[in-house]
Amino acid sequence: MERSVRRKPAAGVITALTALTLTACIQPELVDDGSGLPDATVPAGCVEIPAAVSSEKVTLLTSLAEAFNATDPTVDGQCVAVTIQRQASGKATSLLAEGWPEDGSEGPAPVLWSPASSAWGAVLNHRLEQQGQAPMAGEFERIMLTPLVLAMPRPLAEALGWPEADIGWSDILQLAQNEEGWGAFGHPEWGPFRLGKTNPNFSTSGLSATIAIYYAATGKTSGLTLDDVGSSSAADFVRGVESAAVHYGDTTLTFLENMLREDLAGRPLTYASAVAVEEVSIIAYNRGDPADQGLENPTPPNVPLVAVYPKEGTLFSDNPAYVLDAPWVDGVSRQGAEQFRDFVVDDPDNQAAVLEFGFRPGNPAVAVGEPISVANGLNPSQPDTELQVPAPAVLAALVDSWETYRKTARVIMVFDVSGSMGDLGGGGLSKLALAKQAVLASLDEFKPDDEVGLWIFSTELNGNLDYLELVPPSPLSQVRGQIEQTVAGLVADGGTGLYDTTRAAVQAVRDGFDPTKINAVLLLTDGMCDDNPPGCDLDALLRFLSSTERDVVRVFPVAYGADASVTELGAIADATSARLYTASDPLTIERVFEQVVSNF
Amino acid sequence: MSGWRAALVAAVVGGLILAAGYLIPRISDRSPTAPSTTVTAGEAPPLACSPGLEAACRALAPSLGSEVRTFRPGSDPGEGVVVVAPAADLPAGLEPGPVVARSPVAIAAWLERADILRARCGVVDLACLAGAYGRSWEELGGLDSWGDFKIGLADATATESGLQAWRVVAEDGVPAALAASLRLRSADPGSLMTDLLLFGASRADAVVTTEVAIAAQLPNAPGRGGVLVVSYPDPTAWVEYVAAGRGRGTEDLIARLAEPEIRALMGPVGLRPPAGDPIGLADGLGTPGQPLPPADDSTRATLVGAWNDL
Repeated sequence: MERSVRRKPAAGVITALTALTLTACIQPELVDDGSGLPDATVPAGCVEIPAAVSSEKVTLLTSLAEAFNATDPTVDGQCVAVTIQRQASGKATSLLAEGWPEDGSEGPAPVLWSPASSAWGAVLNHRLEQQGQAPMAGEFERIMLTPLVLAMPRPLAEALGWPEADIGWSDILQLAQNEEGWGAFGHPEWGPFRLGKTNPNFSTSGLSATIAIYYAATGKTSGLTLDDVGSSSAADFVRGVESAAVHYGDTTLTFLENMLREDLAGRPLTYASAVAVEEVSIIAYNRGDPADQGLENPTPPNVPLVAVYPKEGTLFSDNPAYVLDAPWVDGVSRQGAEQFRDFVVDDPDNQAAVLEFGFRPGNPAVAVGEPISVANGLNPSQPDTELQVPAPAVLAALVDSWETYRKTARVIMVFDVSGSMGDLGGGGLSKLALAKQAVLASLDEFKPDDEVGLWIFSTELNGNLDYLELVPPSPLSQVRGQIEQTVAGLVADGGTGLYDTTRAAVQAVRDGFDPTKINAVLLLTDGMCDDNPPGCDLDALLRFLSSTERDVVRVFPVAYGADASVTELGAIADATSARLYTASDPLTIERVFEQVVSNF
Repeated sequence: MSGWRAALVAAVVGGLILAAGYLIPRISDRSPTAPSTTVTAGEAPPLACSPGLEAACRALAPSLGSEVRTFRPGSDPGEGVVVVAPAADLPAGLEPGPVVARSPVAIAAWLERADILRARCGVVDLACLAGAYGRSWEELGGLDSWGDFKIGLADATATESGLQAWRVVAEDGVPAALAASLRLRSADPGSLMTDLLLFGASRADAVVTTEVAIAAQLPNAPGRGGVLVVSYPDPTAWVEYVAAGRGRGTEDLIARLAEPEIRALMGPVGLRPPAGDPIGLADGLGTPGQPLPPADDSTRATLVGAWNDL
């Protein structure tokens, strides 16, 4: 192979990738219900070599596949062409273990598979073994690596002594518990310490960070035990760190995009003080393209992020490339995939492209260099210590205990019961019926002391008011039955008094704001505001929502069905540095709702 | 927790468990330092080399006119291929030919951490490593942020090279604290060294493996986390590589491997001749310890058992 690839992906690829959507739960980068696949064309007469890759490297591998295909590769005279499809690691693991759908709904069955971590290959083999099947993920080569770090706005890191000082989770704990917040470091204007950390039930980054916190609580780097996890000192440490959480969620992209938006709005230091992300994310963020979509004219942040490699140790994502030992992989496909893997890993120019994207090359002959540099706020010599993943029982206990120690939520669930919710959603059920199922199922995702309230809205439900409080925010352990009963009895009628309701719900949460909790509104709607004037003044609503930098109530809208106004709801989410979720197919609402609730 | 979410947690948890080495995923045997399927195609039969030996074979390939492949221990290379590997790794039915090269088991450690060990022990040898097993770097005089002392080994049950390195480590018994420090386990010497460079000192402060596998990565180390320094256990095990093949042209290629012109190419890539001193040994390599006598079947079985018990 002679042709190699450089940083800039083709415009067509960018367009395709921008349209990509999420299908699964582990490390999703975009939040949606669909399964978008890049457009790919295979020359007539050529054998397609499908490759399923995790989302963070879709842009990179699409570019490399284009370059590879341009070399007119052949196997025994048969031309081959590689196509790239996005598949989150966890979901691809399940699809491979359970049988790749033959209807094409998830794209063609992959010949080459690159999840975020080689752990997923082992998971797949383990699951296949349990089913009495042969392993599929055999030998592999690592395409690239990236460690989990704490990304901090540079001035905040410097206030902690970065880059000279060793900084870790114990320092985060001290900051989180200091009532002065950043005032203890001479910067009261930065407010309290706020931590961005994803939900370990949904995000590998979140789980890695949670493991690291437990290790930091014990002073160990390996051999974490059940006693360690169950100790009162660990409980205090974890609870203390988690108390600083902004919110949780299923993807680190939420935090990065919100940080960039706040930065560009002139508020670079107050949304989050630190976010647990992969090192590569910092490079993308500092370019002004947190989702690494290859934007042509990104706007870099005014205040860049820098990497803190926790002094207690961290974990890596190692991005393996497997040529699968699967029934659908024939000799030509296998050899073609191996050629592509060699092209990506062995060709120094292509590994230089990997580096250019911000990953550490998987080929040890290619030195780690720019952009992984001190000048960019990173340190290629770090991390000093990789943490050992705990033993199975310990890890299970760790995840369970996190559920207890995580920051408590105070949430009002606001439910659209306008007439259109009575329309058919799918499977013979109305949109309202499907949404009810989703809400009821989501109650399992809260913990007993989370305070949950329930409002409904359409138009003029309560005199002139478009909304009605059915259950005030109370510990779920006390009101679960009431919520279940109330939801079951909801009927669809009336219009969509969206903005009045949003404003009122946020005000209600503000009135009872509890700084020790995640204060939020979950807003489910299938339409757009159609209230009487001036009820649908979006600018006024946005001004209200963003009228405070402290005590922010996050609004997480769910755009439900094909008619929901994604633009309006996105603006509402942005105004509170939260995130919009979309369930354009009503049948996906239960899964999407679980993703939304992962923020709490 | 919902069924969907519970399954998800199980998957994530399971993934990390497996990543921890409870089930070690197998990494490719191929050294990724250069295209591994074909380096030089010529008239001579292909050369199939042991994992960890490919880089050295590639250095010889142009002069031999062979392409280089990776030989997987125990696999059948087919007709018309010359295998260079330890005799114990050859498949049944493939008669071992002459020893064409050998390599002692050595220790590679990151310079900054080796300096601390040297200050404690005078020399970085197995006794020094054993004294560090199960201890933190803070205890050893290093930085707190370096965490615990960590070593790496190749799977002793997968290759003869892995077994010989394990033999050196376990020569005087398996220290109780070793398991806690054995944080890097790779399939073979080649992938061990690749892992060491990719993860740097965060995963292992030192590895014990064949000198030739270490030599292949010494030039790359400065770009991947620092300088590696090599030291030698005394006594140490030596891994002998035989040439074997069947079919057209293999005898000629096997004979060619013994020619002085080819031998002269071996030293610079870290391979030592079957007897005598190497010519122009690679920078960074030194004088090995005295060779251990060959291990008998009982010793080998004991070593495998001890490895499996770790």
